Amino acid sequence: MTPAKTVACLLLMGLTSVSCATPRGGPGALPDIEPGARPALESDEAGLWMAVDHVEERLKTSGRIVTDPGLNTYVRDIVCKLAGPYCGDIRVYVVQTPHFNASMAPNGAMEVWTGLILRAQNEAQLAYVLGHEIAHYLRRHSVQMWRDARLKTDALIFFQLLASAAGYGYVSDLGQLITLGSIFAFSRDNEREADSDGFELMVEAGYDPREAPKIWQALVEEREAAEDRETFIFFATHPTTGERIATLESLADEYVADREPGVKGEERFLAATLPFRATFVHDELRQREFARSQVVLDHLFEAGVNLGELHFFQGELYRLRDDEGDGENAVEAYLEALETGHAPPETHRSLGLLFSRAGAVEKARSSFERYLRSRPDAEDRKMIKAYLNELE
Amino acid sequence: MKRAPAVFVLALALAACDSYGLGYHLIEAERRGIGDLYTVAPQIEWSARRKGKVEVWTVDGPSLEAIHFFKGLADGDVLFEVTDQEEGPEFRKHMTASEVMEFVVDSLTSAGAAKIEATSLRPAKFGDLQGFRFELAFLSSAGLEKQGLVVGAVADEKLHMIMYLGVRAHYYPKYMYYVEALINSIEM
Repeated sequence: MTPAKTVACLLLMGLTSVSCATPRGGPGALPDIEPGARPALESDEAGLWMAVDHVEERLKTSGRIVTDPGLNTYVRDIVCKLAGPYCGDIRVYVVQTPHFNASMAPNGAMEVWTGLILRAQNEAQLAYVLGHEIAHYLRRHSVQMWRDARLKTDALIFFQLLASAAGYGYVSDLGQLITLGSIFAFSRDNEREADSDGFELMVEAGYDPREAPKIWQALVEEREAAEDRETFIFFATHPTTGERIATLESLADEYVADREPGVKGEERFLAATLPFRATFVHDELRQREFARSQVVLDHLFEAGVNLGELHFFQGELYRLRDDEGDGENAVEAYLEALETGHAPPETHRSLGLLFSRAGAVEKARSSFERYLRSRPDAEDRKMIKAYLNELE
Repeated sequence: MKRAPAVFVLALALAACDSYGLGYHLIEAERRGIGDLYTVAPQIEWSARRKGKVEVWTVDGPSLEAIHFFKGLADGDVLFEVTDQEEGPEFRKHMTASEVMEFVVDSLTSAGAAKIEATSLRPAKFGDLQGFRFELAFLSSAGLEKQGLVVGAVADEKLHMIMYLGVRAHYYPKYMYYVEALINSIEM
């Protein structure tokens, strides 16, 4: 990932995200974008769109794009509900990466990372974050940022960066993106505007606004637990303060004081996302950032859906972390998974590996045999049979 | 003492190549050592570069195809050094083949691979050692389809592996015959 591409990616990732010092209505603020509009060909904004169009073309064929039609339709429907007349201007890309992020480019390309879907507890929470990003898009904050930046630096560099960018969205070099994040971070005014406008979009679409601060709160909790607080890509472009969470909470309380609160959309959210949860949790765990992953798992446990699968993943966290005592903790978690009656078959395999390491031959044998019975077509059945032979 | 200057000059020449950023040197098709554990017959000529415990051989360039030799990774070593922020998982000396496969898959993910599938994990000889083998399929971050083959063994708590990765269309199959022959040629 070259520095040029890195900066471009960051620009695009947070393009909603950027320092517009002037909120709507303030002097120098841009008028809102109109539905269906494209900038005049000779305008600077058209140049920006053209560069971003190129990047979007590459995004379409990125290895991380989730192609499942059900999940894509679900997310797109939420976006359309929020964006109203702008629905036709927005193209949604679901990107498979365990990091929490959503962003919009000025040409209407929206990315939703699966780390965000994993962390939302219901449709209202997901809708709030998407509404927040749509608000940035509607207010053309990114265009304002680009124009402000041009005054301070060589405009050509930005065009060149955008035109040469590839890997819009997720890139493997997260570190570089985060380091540069502060350059493209939202101003406090931008954030307040996106918070309140996103809030409006959310309630207009019929969602319970009390869910809005909860997803920020969960993310803050995760950051506080993290061993390395600097690896949160979303915070790089969206500085989050306690003040903003408190503001959202009081806005929500005020709203529901004399109105119907709106829906959380838990059942719809689960129906659409539960089939992918194991994949997303697996992606989360394989980062090996266990303190953060534990917070994510804890929130999933609170929701209490498919506990067999969650206990299995708790076991996997312990097994992969492999600190002192984690072997025993993992076994305990796997056994809890089995007690639910709905543990994935891989639970037996993981138990087999741990029992084998601990020298518990009979238990290891029994676990491996149970795994093979549950997964007769397992890709690793020959290896498991080899383990069984070694145990004899 | 008479030989020392020649060796010294050779070492300097190699260092000079690396310092100019070229890093690759020619491997001829003659049996050669890989680390301290084994030798292989390369079958054909390759361009090779070494860094620490990793050696990479390629003909068309590593983004198209390459054999990666991991020469005795120790407890705590990573497979790829990615960036400061994302180092990837670490090898542990007590890992079984299943856990090594997991370690490889997670390492490739942290290096940018997407939608990895690891299949057909099975016992296999690694020279005289009882080792393992599995296949890989994944997408690069740009969406290019890639395939891979991994063989390896843990000996004296160290991981020795040969990993062949290539673009699924044309490049991976192009050298497969030589890679299989190379693996079969391992001698301790």
